Amino acid sequence: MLYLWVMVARKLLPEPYLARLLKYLVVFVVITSSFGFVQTFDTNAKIKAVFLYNFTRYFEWPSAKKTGNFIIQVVGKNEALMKELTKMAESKTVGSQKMEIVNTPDFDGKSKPHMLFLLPDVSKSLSDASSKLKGKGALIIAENAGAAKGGAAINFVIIENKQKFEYSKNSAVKAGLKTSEDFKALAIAVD
Amino acid sequence: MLSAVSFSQVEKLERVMNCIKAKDINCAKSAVDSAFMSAEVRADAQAWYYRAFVYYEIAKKDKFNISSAARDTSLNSIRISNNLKPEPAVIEGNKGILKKHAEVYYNMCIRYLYDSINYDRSSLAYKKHKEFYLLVDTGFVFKLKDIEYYSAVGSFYADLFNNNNTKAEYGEIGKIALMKVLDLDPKNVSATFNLGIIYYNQGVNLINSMDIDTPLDKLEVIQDNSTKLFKQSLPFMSKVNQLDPKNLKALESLRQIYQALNDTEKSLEFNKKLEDAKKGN
Repeated sequence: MLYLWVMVARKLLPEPYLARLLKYLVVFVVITSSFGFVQTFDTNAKIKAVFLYNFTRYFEWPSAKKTGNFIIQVVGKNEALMKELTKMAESKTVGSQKMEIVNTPDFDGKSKPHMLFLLPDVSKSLSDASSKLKGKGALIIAENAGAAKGGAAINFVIIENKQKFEYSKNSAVKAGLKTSEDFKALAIAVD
Repeated sequence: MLSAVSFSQVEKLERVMNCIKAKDINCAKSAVDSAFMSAEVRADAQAWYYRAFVYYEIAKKDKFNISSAARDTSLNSIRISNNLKPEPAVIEGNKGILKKHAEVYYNMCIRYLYDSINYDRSSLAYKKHKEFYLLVDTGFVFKLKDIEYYSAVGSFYADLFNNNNTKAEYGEIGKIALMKVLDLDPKNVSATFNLGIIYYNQGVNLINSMDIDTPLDKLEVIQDNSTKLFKQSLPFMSKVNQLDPKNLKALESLRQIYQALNDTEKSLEFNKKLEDAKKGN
């Protein structure tokens, strides 16, 4: 906050005192070992939000799901991700559909989302979710090793410190979704 | 001391002295300019010393201006005076004026740094400060003062960058200055830490400033670049952790860096170390 100090001093101090203070500030910086600060911004959450928004552009949902709000249900706890998705929903739409972000602690099978994102802490719900949402036009996304072969159409993975995603076309088709070959080229295809 | 010049020139230089004593700088300038019409005066080292002093006084009004014709005239007069092999008293007088000019340049470099946020001018003023100070004290070792100055530049620009992420050039200036500090003092904890912070925050900025509708191919490029920056940040922060294992800010930063690198295991490891350090373990 050095700069703020200088700004305040400039407003409050007359010239000779200001000059002296700035001179002392140099010494002060060295003596006190001035330390900056890390931004506590969650980069992973922002990246995931960008991925999720992109997914809305690569899939075609059944006609029955092209009216009303476009629902993204996040199951599990990730406050930073929820914040990013809420921000996204305020400014973006999927076609003419308004986005609605829903966060639940567990998967109860009652809701009919367009996207269901099962966070790692609820990954055990994957088989239940994939059977209950079969053919209902829900893109199931997970973040757990092997999830793309266990019913999720998309599974986030870490490769060389970066977020990537696996894609199971079979799971997407079973869910009643259509997609292009372009999308497969951007993913790590598992089938 | 004025033996080299004729009686009339002595009178002219005495007029200069009287004006200086009366603190009438316009009168002194007029007198010194008039005296220097004479070739005899121009051959006298002490006359040049007077001229240097008068123009030093005139240059005071330019104390925060790096380009001052009066200051240049003063400095040039000192150079000529010294070339004329003056008596020891004049040499000391010249040194005294040079020292004052060096101080002016130092004050200027600080002013350009903190007030005008102009690193180019600040570093130029600092260079001039060093140049003239070394003429006064030829044996002076600038290492500590260089560390002091570049630490101030690095910390200040790191601070500016962290508070205004759109100004990427602030981060770059901060990095260059802090690298200079580490060249001079490889174990400087503050410079090492601040370098790590700049790299990390540059990586964060890339992601933070990305639009939500960034296409997937572009997202991959952004992730590549931000990951590189996080990895560049890591050795600096690890070094701070080695030098000062209980440094809470370093532990917190390492937790954040590993999180940004999607290395949950290491992030949790540093989270635990941070919690332990906070408890005093």
